[in-house]
Amino acid sequence: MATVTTPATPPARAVKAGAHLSRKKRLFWPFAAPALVLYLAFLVLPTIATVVLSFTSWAGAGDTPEPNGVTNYTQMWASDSFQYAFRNTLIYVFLGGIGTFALAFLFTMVLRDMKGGKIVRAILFFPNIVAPVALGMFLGFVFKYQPGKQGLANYVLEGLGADAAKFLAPSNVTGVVTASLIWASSGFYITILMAAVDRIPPYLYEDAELGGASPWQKFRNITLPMTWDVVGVAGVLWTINALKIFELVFVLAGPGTYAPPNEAWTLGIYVFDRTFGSNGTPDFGAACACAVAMIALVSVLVVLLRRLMRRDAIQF
Amino acid sequence: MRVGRLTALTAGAALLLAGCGGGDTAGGTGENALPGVDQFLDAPCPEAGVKPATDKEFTYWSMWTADEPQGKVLQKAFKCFQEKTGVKVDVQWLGRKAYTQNLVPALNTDAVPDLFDQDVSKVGAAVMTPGGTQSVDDVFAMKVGEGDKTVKDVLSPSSYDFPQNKDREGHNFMVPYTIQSSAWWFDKNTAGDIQQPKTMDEMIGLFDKAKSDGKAAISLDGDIPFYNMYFYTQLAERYVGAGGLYKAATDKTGQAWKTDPGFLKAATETAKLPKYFIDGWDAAKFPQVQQRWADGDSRFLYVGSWAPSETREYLDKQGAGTKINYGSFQFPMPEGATHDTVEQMSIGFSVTKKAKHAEAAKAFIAYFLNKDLLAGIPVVADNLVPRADLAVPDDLKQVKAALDDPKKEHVLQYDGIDGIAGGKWQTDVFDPADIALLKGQITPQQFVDQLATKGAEFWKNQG
Amino acid sequence: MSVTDVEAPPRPSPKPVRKPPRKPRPAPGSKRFSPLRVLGSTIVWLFTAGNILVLYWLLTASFKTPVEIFTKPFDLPYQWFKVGKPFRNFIYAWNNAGFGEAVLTTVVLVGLATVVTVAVSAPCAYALTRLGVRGSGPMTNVVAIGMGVPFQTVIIPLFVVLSKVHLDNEYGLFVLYVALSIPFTVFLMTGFFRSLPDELEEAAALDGASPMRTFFSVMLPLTRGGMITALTLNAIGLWNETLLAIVFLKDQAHFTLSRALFTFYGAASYQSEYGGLIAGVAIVVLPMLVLYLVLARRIITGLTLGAGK
Repeated sequence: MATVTTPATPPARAVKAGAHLSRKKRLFWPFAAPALVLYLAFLVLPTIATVVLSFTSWAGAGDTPEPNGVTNYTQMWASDSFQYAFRNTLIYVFLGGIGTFALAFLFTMVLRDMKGGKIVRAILFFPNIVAPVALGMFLGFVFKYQPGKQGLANYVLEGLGADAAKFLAPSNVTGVVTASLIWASSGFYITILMAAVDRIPPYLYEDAELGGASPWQKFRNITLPMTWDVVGVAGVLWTINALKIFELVFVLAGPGTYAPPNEAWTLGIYVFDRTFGSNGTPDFGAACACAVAMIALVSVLVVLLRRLMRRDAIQF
Repeated sequence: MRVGRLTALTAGAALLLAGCGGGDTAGGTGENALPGVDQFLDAPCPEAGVKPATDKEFTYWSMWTADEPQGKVLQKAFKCFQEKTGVKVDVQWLGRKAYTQNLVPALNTDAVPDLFDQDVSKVGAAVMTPGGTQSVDDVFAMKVGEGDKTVKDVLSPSSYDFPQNKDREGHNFMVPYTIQSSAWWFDKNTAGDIQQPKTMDEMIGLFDKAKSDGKAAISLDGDIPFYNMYFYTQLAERYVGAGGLYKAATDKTGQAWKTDPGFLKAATETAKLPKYFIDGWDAAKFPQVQQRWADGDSRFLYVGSWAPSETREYLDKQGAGTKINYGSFQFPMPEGATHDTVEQMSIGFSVTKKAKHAEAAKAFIAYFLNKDLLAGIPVVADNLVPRADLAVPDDLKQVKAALDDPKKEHVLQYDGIDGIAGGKWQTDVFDPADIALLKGQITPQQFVDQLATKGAEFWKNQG
Repeated sequence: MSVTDVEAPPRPSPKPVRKPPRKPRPAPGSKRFSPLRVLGSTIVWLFTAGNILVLYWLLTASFKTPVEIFTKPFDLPYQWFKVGKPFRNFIYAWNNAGFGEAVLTTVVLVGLATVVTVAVSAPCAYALTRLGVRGSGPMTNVVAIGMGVPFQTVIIPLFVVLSKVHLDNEYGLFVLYVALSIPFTVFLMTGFFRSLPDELEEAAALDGASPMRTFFSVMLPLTRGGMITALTLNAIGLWNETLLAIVFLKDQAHFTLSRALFTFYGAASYQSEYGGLIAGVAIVVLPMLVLYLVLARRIITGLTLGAGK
């Protein structure tokens, strides 16, 4: 993009800039309004409605909401299902996040020098486009435990001489889901991180190698700082998405038509269960309370993350 | 251009698929196919007992899908109804979850269907309680089209006349057209013709024999809490009778579990079973373990009376000639039990309160209960019906005999504890304890204690 | 470009052959083959194999009978072929489970929704980043936060309100799809617009273009990559969107593919119609796979450009 050097005639330019600028500014509302109006009407207002409704007792089935203070919240905190859901969601966000990003960096390092790296990267993106229902079914077969006809994972384990594991038992399923989550999400984050790493000038790495740096040192002192901003953005995206996780856990940890045992719940499943009732009566006030909890949690985590990642931008 | 060629290819494939119309016929196409399916579907339409005077149409949201056997039976009924009365039916095949995911939200608006169906517990919990249904008492007086017989005359009273089918004013809110029960299922071809065991020891002897024959004894899909629930609820019902479990579960102090010794005894009997469960039941993904029963890996399976229809389709589609000769028996009476119970769940039609065409909907309900139409349910869908005068397929004969036995006490499925507090009681209190008992992690005494303490905690929290 | 000489050119002296510079000897302590690299490569190949396995499983299982699916999950199908009806599962899903009708509805709904979303979001992103209005930054943040709102939390209020205006159907769903895709699209597009140099705008202004013209003729075309990325990612997301479709679509004739799949998934186990179910899944997944393969490079460049800022 060639830069245009303009002859300096300050007063005339200033006038033109002023008029132009104000004409530009007048464009603001016509341009931004449609999107902002839709956003306000269909996202902001319903969210406010949800917050208000979380202080009512409402079945959402044709009756009218009745205010009941913080009852929904106290009941929610005391219920086992919510505690499991809260714990599991945090596990998915943190463990899943660390796992995904560690894997993504590892892959980035390897794929850069590998022939066919671009094709592999495209293949790794695949699980993102498959409906979670299909992934859940597939993983059900992979993790099957059946003496004599083990699923793929146990088949490999037994081949290596280990005992077959009961992957899908409710006590183990959180681990399995975390692993599946990392597998399914890594493609997306690999893509983003690879692009960021690609922008690092190679001479930095060569200099480091000349200086005798180990791969870990190179990572810590070159890769990480140079991609910090992008990692920050990716981290926010991850947090937001991991918090919402619903379909994959629902289909993998349970039979798919009913909710899974409450040990495996996430906050998304809790809201779904209270909205549509595990066996009939919905409890929409409680669902709203959990939704508010989710929104609060995501805000806290994102703010923390941004604070953690903040530092001066490096231009290069 | 690459995209262009791709589009052409896809379009071609789509046309090809659309051209080869038609799916499978109901009732299976292979060795296990039910006799009489086509006969039923081609039979002429019976006369209607009641013709709506003003309504010319009504809307129905179905719990079935169009390709299911029940869907096919209903479609024939709609066709006949239109032929005989001129009323058009607008049907949406929404599947089992229609009542929570579509009907309940619709209750907040005026856009409700006129007719819908589901089992009585679910309708009671989700639709009746918030006031979404209207009384169907008037349907029981309508004629079914067999001379002067009314609906009340042809249905067995136990199928609709129980407390859980009454709304707040004491009227019935559902008219049943299918009955479900449960039993121990086995294949007569491999297990022999087993007779009803009279004692728990006899039944356990059967399990031991299965194991010595090299098979697993009991198949169980451990990820479905309702299947896990069967064992304890069946045994407990025999000690405390209909309503006993429900009363204990809704006891706010939770002490009822401890005061009646029957609950502990039932837990002790239940604890005898897990060592016969198939290896991997607790790491299962439905329906894998059920299929293993159908494939012959295990001998017994305890589920509802839909077992034959589900597994029949599974084998049928293989077309490999495997056939199951279904046999079944009920739980025997354990030591010290005093109630000879049999489980029953009624599935039927209900009419919404804000229905705009209630008259036509109710007339259809009466019409569907006509002998010639309702016969489709056993013949095509392999399910039981609330009419005692309709024949059932061989695989269901034993269950029907148990249901028709006047000495047996009828209990609603799970005694209704699955619907308490919108299902939350079951999820939070019962299921964790049940799984722990089945896995041998707690003793029967601890099981009962846990139900008591967690139950009290739950009710305190509910306020 | 040689000048023709009268005399024959003298024999050219041999040009010194330039040897490529010698590779620096690896400094002591740094190895070429670190264990980390070997570990990394193994994992990469495992993952790649795993993903290809998914595709393989999906394709083979959609041709199998239920018994084959459960007893021989990773073998090649044969039973339907033996009986002479290889496409039976697909035909079943297409006709009996309503996937045939759903395809048209989904293509139209998703196509329109993504186009309208981008049409509405691109100007908004431009306005927020380049029109220099005070408070644009915080406003962008507010819009971006919208990405974090889980859909479950807004369903019932939306449903109740939309049904009062008789929009609790595919038209209401269309509006919702647009509205709920706006936060992500605006966020993505702001990244792109910010990366465009100011000088272009100034040049256009100096050339006498009105701000509208500047936007449509200069800035917008430059973000074409970003728009394609936004279109594709939104299309993939909306194609697979199930939750809202469940609640808002009650008329079977207007089901989307994921809605039809969901109902089918619930009913399949009662009839052991697993072959048809997986064929249905294949029908839902394969168009997205094709779209992705055709546009993979665009998506990746688009994502990275946006994220790179």
